[in-house]
Amino acid sequence: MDIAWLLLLLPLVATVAILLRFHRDPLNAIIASVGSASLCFIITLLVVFDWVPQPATWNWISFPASGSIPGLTIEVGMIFDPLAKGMLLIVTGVGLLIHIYSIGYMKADPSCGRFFGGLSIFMFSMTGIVISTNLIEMFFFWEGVGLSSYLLIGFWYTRDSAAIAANKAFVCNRLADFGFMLGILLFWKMMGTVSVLPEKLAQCYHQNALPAMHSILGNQAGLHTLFAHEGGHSPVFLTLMVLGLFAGCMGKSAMFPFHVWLPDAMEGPTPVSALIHAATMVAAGVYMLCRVYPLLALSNLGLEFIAFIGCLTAVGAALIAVQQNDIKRILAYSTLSQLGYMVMAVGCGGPAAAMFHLTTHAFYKALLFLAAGSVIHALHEEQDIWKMGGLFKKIPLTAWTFGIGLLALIGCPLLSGFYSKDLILAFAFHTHPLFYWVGSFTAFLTAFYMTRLYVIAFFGPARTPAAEHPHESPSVMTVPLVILATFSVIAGWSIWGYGIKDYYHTWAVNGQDIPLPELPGFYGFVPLVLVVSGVLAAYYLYCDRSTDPLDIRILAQKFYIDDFYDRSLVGGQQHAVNLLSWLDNWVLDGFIIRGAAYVTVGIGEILRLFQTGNLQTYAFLFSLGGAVVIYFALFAH
Amino acid sequence: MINASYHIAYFAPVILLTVWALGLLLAEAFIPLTPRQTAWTALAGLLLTGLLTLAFDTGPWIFWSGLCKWDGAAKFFNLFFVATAMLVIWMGDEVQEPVSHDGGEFVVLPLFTTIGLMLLAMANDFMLLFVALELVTISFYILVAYQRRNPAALEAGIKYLILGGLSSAFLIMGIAYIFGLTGTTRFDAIALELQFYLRTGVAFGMLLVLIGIGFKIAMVPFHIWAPDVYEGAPNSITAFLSVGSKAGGFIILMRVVLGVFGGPAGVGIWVPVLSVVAILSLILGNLAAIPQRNLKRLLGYSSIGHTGFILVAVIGAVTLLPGQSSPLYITDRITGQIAVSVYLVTYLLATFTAFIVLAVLNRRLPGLEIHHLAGLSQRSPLLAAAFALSLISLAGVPPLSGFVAKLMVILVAWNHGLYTLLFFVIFAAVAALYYYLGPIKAMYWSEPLDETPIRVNLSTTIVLYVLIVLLIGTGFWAQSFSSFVNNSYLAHAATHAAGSLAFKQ
Repeated sequence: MDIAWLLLLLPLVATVAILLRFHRDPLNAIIASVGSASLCFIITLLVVFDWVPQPATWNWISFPASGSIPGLTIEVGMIFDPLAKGMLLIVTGVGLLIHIYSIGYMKADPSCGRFFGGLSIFMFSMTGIVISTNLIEMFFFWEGVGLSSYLLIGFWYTRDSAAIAANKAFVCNRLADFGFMLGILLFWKMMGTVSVLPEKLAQCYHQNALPAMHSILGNQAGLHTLFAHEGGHSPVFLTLMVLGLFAGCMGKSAMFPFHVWLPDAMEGPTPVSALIHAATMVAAGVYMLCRVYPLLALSNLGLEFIAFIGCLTAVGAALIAVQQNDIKRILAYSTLSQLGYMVMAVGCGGPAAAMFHLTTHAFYKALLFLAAGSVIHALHEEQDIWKMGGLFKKIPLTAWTFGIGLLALIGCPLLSGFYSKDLILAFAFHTHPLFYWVGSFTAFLTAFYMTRLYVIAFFGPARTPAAEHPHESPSVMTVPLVILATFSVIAGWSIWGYGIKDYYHTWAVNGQDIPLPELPGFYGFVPLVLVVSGVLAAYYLYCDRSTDPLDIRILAQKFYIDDFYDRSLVGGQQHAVNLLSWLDNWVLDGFIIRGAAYVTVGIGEILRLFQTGNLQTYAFLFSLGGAVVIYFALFAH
Repeated sequence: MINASYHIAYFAPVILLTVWALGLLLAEAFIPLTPRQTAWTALAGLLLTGLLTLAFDTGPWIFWSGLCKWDGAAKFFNLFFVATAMLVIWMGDEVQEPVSHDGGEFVVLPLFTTIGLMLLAMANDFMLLFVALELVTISFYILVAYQRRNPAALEAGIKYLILGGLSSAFLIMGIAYIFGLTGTTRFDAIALELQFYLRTGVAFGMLLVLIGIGFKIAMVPFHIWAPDVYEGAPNSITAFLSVGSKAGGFIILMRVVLGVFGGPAGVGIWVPVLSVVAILSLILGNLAAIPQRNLKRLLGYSSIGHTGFILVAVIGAVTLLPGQSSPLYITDRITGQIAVSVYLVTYLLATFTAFIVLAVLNRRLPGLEIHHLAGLSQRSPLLAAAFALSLISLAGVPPLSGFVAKLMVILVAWNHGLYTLLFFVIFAAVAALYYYLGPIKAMYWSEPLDETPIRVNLSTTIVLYVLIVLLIGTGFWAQSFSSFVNNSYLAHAATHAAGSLAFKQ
């Protein structure tokens, strides 16, 4: 038994223990859950420093090819390449901090045991996604993550809004996962494998790619034509496969048009929003894209689509965030926007940039959410920023850490977000200027709405009685804030050497060293100028205001997308549901099942009338059956 | 084939068990033994028999004037039956309410049943087949009706007796026809004679034999007894019937249809027949289970449905592969047989788990209807989890062991182009989910009427945990599990390298 398997076993054991024994015993539940998270983090450190080797795979299923069906080999194992190590570090590291923070945040809740059970099952599934060596294994954990997200969003299930939000998240994810499943099937059918080991993917890539495709960054023109390739698979199917795999990402990472679930998911407890809906789970989609990037690179059209959707989500969500008033919702839309950035980076051929941004984002977004949670905690569950104000002096530690997260997010030089955003913009610039300009505009919006939030909530006068007497959170909550703040500052510094770059090179161009792209002089300054002007604009617009001077209905109403869904899809679905329910009630339940039951019962009743006839009937039926069998087998031709 | 006299040694396990059973019966008459002492002595005998069986190689040898055949399948199924009998006797002693122990027959009779089943697995001659089958059936008559003061048990016993007698009549009549027209009762001799041409009389005899076997495996339309008898018999015996008797039926079904009538002439007749009854079993077993409220009846109908699944694998064992000229190609036969064996093993695990839970509950609950299970998860998490897992495994949900079995059946059907059967297999598998989930819903999402926790004693807890681990483990380590079955089954066949699921063409 390899120690590495403990990464999966520990949270699983914690989950089961909480489920069976500790669900009404908060103290033990906390010990089990936080204990498993700490041990997992320690093991992750050992993994990162190569002290724990990659465990041997075991062959779950192996069928040789048969006729037109390719063989199916599912080797369940763990993958510890630089990409996975980086992600593991984020998942277990940020996860552990949020576990600790939750002790303080949830201790008053009577069903806190259930909460920690949910966190543990999430850690189990998320770690599983990261270390999966094949897409079937990944899909299993993928669904596990969906489940835990459902459980945790609906944690306060007595609130209608939470229950509805949980359903919404689950349904959106299921819809997208259907596409993901089709993508996996297409991948398997074409490549004859479901493995996502880098060497396997590189092989798939080199067998199917056009020679011209080998240069990734140089290939800017002619992206819209479906290219033909002798020997490889049809470009149409390759593109469909890419779109299928991307569909999975669109669900998990909440890309337009599946983005609607993420803001609603803020109904869950704030640590959940921080862990699942900001730092890790929503990043799973991006991680998956980076993992299978060699496949995506087989279809230029697919990549373009990915970049386009990412770009659209980035700017759309940032626009919506400008007019939101709920502190968690603003952060949620900001998460959407940042995820859009990452997906755009993948689409622009920069998985390395996407993973870099994912890493830095995990730190500062978790920090922002936890700090927001601390604010909400201090104000007794108040989430509307217009009812806050003047908090800077009263809860200084929270305010300072929030400020650091904010600066990292908007891309203040020397803080982590600056470097990763710059790299993404560089990739975008070399793919198409449109992406670069939209990305820069998004940076302006980000600076604007974050400054707006900060100015309204932390400066100015206190607008409600609750805001006048807040209390700083206990240290079990503030210590994680400080740690995360530290990482938000330093995570982008090049002393870490972009470990992900290694992965980027393993499959790409025969080990050639591709330099990471850079923005040429003038274009490098544009984003910085935009960020500064965003900050200044928001500061002058919102300083000492008590109502919003801007009133842009379409943004406040989120482009009416949710309403559109409610009217069209949900309405249409209601009809379909009614039809299915009718079928279920009358055809399935009524005709087939009750019909069969009535016939059975009826025959039974008839037989019961002749008490001695029962057995004789049996014997008669037995012999009749025999006669019929013999007749049809021998004489019916 | 070597036909030397010393091959009689392969009888040693059967002889050991016979002597042990007779000795126990006698000892019981003279020495006052407690029921527990009788049971544990019987268990010791079975354990020794199992170890002795393990010690033998896998032949294949035909011996005793061609009456017996010792091969991988015989060894595999002998071990299977010994394991089944151990679980049955342990259940009878430890788990269920004391079944009026007038003498130790309730413990000794399963030993005789096991002897019959072991001989069935070794039969190479219709005579031995018949005698062994009667040994099994007659001991079952008594076991089913053992609670003779209970009217339901008596009714079940009478039904089983009369219908069993009827089926034996069909069987012996079929054997008579075959013997009359071929002049021999040896499987290999008949097979040689009938390879390319089958007279109508012989075909008639074959169909009669199939009807006789159809009763043992509870295939439609010879299934009528199953739900009634399952409901009336003591829980351990129901499990024995459902697993041991069915497996015995399937081993001789395979010996007869794949061995004796495996030539092109025979295949042409029984494949259509078995295909139709397989479809009927799948539909009837799974649909009729849906309205059932009594858990034992529900499992009875589901057992008919499982017969349908296994029959598909048997048919898959001979059907012509696409692009292949001879239907006798041996590898694909083996694929089907492996699928049957894997299916039976997973079925054993799940069925015994379910019946052990039912036997425990029988004493604690007012009845064994679905609504009696309400809130069981709060009263005893272990029992609820074990029962839920066994049902989920029977339904074939990954990654439990039942999934592996169903997957193998589906692959056999697919590889052999049995698309119609495949359609019904998938339909039945989906329909089955409907009724398997009912009890789970009751256990986990209904409020208990009575909140008192149910205590489970230590040995039951241990056995349930072992079974659960096996249910999950055989599903997770599907590859090792199926190669294990494959190897133990085929160790003799030098031409077939042991390997993966052996789905090579």
